[in-house]
This record gives sequence, structure tokens and C-alpha cells, in this order.
Amino acid sequence: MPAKPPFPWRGWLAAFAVAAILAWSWRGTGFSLAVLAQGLPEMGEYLARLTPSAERPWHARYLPEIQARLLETVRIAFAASVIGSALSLPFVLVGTRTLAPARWAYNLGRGFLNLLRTIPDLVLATVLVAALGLGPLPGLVALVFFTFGIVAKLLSDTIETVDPGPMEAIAAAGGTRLQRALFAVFPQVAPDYAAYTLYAFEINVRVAAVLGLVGAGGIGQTLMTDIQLFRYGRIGLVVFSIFVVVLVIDAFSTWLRSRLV
Amino acid sequence: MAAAPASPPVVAFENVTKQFPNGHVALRNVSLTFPRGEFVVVVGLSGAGKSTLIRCVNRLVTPTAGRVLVDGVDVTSLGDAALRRARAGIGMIFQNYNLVRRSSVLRNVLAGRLAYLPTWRTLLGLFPRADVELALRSLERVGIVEKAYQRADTLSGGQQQRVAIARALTQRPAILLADEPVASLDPPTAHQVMRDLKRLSREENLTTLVNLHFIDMAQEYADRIVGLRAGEVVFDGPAEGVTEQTFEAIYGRRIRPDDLRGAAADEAAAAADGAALAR
Amino acid sequence: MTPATRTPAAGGGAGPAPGRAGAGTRALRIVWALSAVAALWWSLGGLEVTPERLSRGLPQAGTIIRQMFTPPNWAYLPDVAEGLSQSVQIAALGTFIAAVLALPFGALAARNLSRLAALPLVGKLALNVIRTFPELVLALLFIRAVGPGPFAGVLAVGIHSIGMVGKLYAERIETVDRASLEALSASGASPLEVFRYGVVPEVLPDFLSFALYRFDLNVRAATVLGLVGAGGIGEKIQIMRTAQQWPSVGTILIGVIVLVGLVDYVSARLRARLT
Repeated sequence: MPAKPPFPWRGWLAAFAVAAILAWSWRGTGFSLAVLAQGLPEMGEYLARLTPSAERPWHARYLPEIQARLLETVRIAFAASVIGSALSLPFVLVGTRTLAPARWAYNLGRGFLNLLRTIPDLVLATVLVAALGLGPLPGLVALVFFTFGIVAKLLSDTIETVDPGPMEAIAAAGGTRLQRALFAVFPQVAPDYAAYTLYAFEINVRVAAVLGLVGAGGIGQTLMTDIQLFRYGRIGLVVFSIFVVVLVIDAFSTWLRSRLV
Repeated sequence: MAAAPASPPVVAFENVTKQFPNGHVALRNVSLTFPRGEFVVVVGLSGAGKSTLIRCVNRLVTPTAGRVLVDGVDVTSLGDAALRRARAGIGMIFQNYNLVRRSSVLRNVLAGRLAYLPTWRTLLGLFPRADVELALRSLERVGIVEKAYQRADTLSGGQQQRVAIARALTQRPAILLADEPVASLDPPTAHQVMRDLKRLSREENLTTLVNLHFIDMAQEYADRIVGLRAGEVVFDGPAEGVTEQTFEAIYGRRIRPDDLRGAAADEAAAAADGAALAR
Repeated sequence: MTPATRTPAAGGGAGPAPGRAGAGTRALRIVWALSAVAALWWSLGGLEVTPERLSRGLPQAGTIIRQMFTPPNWAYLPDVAEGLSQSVQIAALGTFIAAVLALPFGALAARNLSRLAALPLVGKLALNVIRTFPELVLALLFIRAVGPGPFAGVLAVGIHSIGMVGKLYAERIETVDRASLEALSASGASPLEVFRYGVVPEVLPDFLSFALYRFDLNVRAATVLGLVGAGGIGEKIQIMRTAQQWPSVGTILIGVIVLVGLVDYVSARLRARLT
């Protein structure tokens, strides 16, 4: 008979650690199925109030404002995507190993990028609301940073895997660093760049929809006011319209991306 | 050498036809009976319906017409639970071994017991001691018990196929199905696997149906040969009388070198086997 | 512009992808670029982003950022640590709930496990619908059910994450070799047993890796949930921001950056070891 394998200590240790973390989290968050079971009927009632009914119909007169706010949401997401991804282009000249002028510049660029990417978008938006005032501007700026972070990261990762042949050829012909990037690298990654921008746009629409919850413009602002004023019929309509817009833009953008690459 | 005709057939095809949804007819009105303990090799070109034929026995393929009787029970009409019980008594071996790659060899072999155990036990992975011992004994019989606790994907192709045989054995089946079991193996290993199959079939008195493309192997190991062409049985008889002409008639063309696996001298096979064991 | 218009010729001589940009595609690119600029103009116009607002707002933002970090309020650090650990707790429990609840969804949405073609479509649709509701909106809903605090945050994170985790599960299950599953059902295993013995061992390391990845994202999410009252460090951000205690906000930001960076690093390391 074969020797039994050694007892899997590492696996059990990991499982035990996970269990301990979960127990700690359970206590810390006051998780309770009893409370949940008790609260669910109330939540169901709340949800029921959000659905259109005879007493609380989804009035057509709500639509113009909702439409305007949705448009604002899409505008924030779109503008942030274009500006943020445009800003990422000059950045990759520094933040990409193969294009950076020096090792320290690359490390500095990457460090900045990693730091930027750790700040959650809505935390940034909250702080910017305080600095720039209520409205779409702080939301826009927060999403520009976010888009910049994600597109710059994806783009420089892609550039590092790109065929170096053309770059060498330009260098051999006496091209500068900028010329190498413009003529040898960017043409190769152009479709990826467009795809990353679209991807960022998809995420931005989702985030822009909730920016208003912290006062940074868009449809979320309407939602927050309606929730505070218990305007149930409107809440339902707003949530539903967010849902539709996100799904439609997602589907469109996914389709567009699939055609790009 | 065909088994005693007196005993009732273990597997019987009655006018079985299989037409796939795309219109392709894989079996045409096939009627065959297989008595207990017979080692049958089914030959034919690829696409002749060999694979469909043996898959009708455990109903991985459901015939469109006709009946398939296993121990007198029509498997074509069984419900899910009854079908699983019937499948428990039918072991099957595949061309690509079809092991769960990331599981250990022993786990793979124990899978042969799933249909015999209550679901709660199997979901928790609590196999009775007797089943673990049975699985280890099955591995012993195919000569790779020392690999029991290794991951399946660390084994060579020939070893994996022997694990698959052990899995089938652990079902304690009455019937063994093998779908091109040696097509992915080199000649010495292929012969080793066929010898294993034949030996186990004898020891356990298993009714064994093996699909093979190679005519030399069919002649060497079969008690009886069934030839299929375009879904029809075009030959059925004891292996002794079969010649190259018979195969040319079955295949409908001349025999080519790639229809032969090539004979591996017993010593060479044994040496290769020994080397595999030593590894 | 002159060198730019010569690019294709130069690239064609040097690069491996000659002739990709003919005259027609170049014109098309210019059209694309122009329409992007126009759309950007339209977007910004509707957002009242004017030079005046920017010139007024940016210096103010600079002042606030300076106040945050010169120096941050280190005395507030213990409170920050408490808020951060609650965010981690929300993320951990939420991820666990999602990782478990996503299993049936993932199995349902995988094309190779179902005999009916419609079932995976329904499963994938359900997962997409779940994903569409943002954590913050779900948090507002769950606050209705269980009151404000971290519990509502756990539920919001848990439910929202099912969407992505379930989708990843389904895609992974779809790459499992169908033949090995066939072998199990040929031996008489029930569908549940086929899943347990054929699918689970193959996909488990990857599933754990998906959960770790989602945990990483959920820690970020759990830092903002407090902004709507669902627990974690976000509550403290909200309080300190309203009170204009910028040095304390600075401390919180540093804490969030350190935590997210740390979790990012650990999660990536663990995932690298899993596969």
C-alpha cells in the first residue's frame, strides 16, 4: 500500500485563518440573520412602494428632470473618459518601461500611478465636493483621475508587451524617443487604447450614477433628494431608469469593444 | 471461442437506430446480443457508429428507435434514478482517459463508487473504509497503487488510462465499455492496456465491448469481432476466422499502414511497463 | 501635422503591419477624433464647467489639500484604524456571502452543465441584472431593512458582488473538460455528484482566486459605503468633511491609501500562489 500523503497543514491553517477573520467580521459588523429576517418584510414593503401602483404611479411629469439628470450623468462619464484617457497618453512616455527616459522616471511614474489607483473614486469625489462645491464638477474631476489611472495602467502594460521591432527600426533611423512612441508604438496599440477608453467609460457610467449620493452631480443627486423626501414613486422610476441606462450603455460599449479587438 | 450460447445475453440491441438532431444517422436498425464474459471488439472507420453503439449501452446516447436491454432491462426507457443505478453496473473507459485532472488518483478511482452511496455522504466526501480499500485494490490490480495520492495530471498517458480502468473496476461492473482506449497511446503501452483489459475481463467474467480502429489489435485480443460501416452491422463473427480481407470488406477500402498499431513484442512491452512502474 | 501624415509610409517600411492605415482609414480617424472632440465640447457645456469655476475652485482645492497634509491629524489615527478595520470586516463578510451565493448562479449560468439551452441565458441575465445595481443603492435599500450601520454594508457588498463573482465562476466552469464529466455520469453519478467530483476539484483554486480579487475590490467599496450610512471608514470621512476637519480627513485618506495598497498587494501575492 502507498504511504499516505502528509497532513495538509497549510491548507487547514489557511482555512482556520479565514474562519477566524470571518468570525471577527461577524462580530464587528453586527451581522444577524434574525435582524435580517425581521427587516426583510419592511424592505419588501419599501420595494413594493417603489413599484408603480394606482396610488403611486410613475408620473410622466417626473421624466424631464430625470432625463436631464441622466444626461448629466452620461456627460460626466463621457467627458471624464475622454479627458482621462487623453491625459494617459503623455503619461505612458514616462510610465512605461520601454519608453521611459530613465529608470528613476519610470519608477516615479509607476509609483504615482499606483498611489492614485488606491484612492477609491467616491472618496476622492467626496473630498472634491468639499473643495469645489456641489455639482457635477467634482464628480467630473474625480472620474478624470480614475480614468487616467486605469487607462494609463492598462495602456502601459500593453505597450510593454508590444513588438519592439518597429521601435528599433525608428531608433536605428535616428528617431527620438517621442518619434519612436508616435510612429512605432502608438499605431500598434491604438485599438487597445480605444478599447480601454470604452471600458473606462462603462465603469464611469456606473460610478457617475451614484456620484450624486455624495453631492457630485448626476442622477444620484435626484435619487438622494427623493429618498430624503420619501418620494417613493420617483425613487422607483429613478432606480429603474439608472438600471436601463447602465444596461444599454454597457451592451453598446461591449459590442463596440468586441469589434475593436 | 464465442461464449456459451446457452446463457442469456447480458446486453442486447433490438433494432436500434440513432439519428442525431443534425440528421446524421449513426446507427441503422442494429440488432446484436452479447453473452456474459465475452470480449468483443467493434471495428469500423471513424464515423461508422462504433462510439454511438457502445454509448447506447449506458445511454450516454439515447437511441431514436429500438431497445437496448441490459440484464433484461430496457435502458432506453429508464428514469434518471434508475438509469444511474443501471450505469453503476457498467464501467466505461475513454480515449482521453477523462480523469479529473486536479484530483488525486485515489479520488478519481473512488468516483466509481458514487452511484452506490447516499448523496449526503458523497457530497461530504465520506467514503466508507471498504470502498477506499476496494479502490486501492483496483489500483493494485492495474499495477499503479503507489501513485494513489498523486494528482492525476502528473501521470503519463498509459498510467492515466490504467487509473481509468481502476475507476471502472471499482464500480464492480458486469459490463465494461471501452471507447478507443488505446488511440492516444504508443504501441507498447497500448498493448499493455489491452492485455490489462483482457485479463480483467477474464478474471471478473465481464462482458466487454471495445472500440478499436487497429485491425491487428482487434485480431489479437478479441473473442468476437463486430464490424460497422455507416451505422450498419456488416460483420459479426469469432475473431479466429477474420482475415485482412474481412477488414477490407468492413472498411470498404484497402488496408493501410495506419490501420495497424504494430505488434509490440511482449518483452518490449513488459520492459516499457517496468520502466513506467519504476518511474 | 506633416510628419504625422507620413507615418503610415514610414511605419510600413519599418513595422510588421504595413498598409493598415490607407487614405480612407486616415480620413475616418480624423472624423472619429473630431467627433470625439465635439462630443466632449457638448458634454462639458452641459456641465457648467467654465474657466471661471475652475479658476475659482482649483486654488481652493489646493488650500484644502494643503491643510489635509501639513500635517495630518495623527491623534485621530486610532479612530481611523477602527473605521478601517470595520471596512475590512464588511468586505470580508460580504465577499464570503457573495462567494457562496454565487455558486448556484455560476453553475446555472455555465453552458456545459445544463441540458437546457435557455437556463444559462437566464442565469447570465440574472447575474448582469444584479451587477447593475450599485453597492450604494443597495446599501440604501438594506438600511431600510436592518437599519444604518455596517450590517447593511455587508449585505450590499455581498449581494452586489454575486454578479461579478457568479459570472467569473460560470466562465471558469465552462472551461472544464466536458469529457471528464461524461465519465462520471457514465459511472452513475448524479448531477450534484458530477459537480462535486468533476467540477469542484478543477475550479476550486480559481474560485478562491476570484474571491480574493473581489475582496480587493470590496475593500475599496467598503470605504465609501459609510458615505450613505452603511458603516466603515466612510462614515468618518462624512463626519470630518462636514465638520471641515481637513487634517483629520487627511489622516483618513492616508489610512485608506495604505489599507487599499496593502490589501491589493496581499491579494495579488496570494492569487499568484494559488494558480
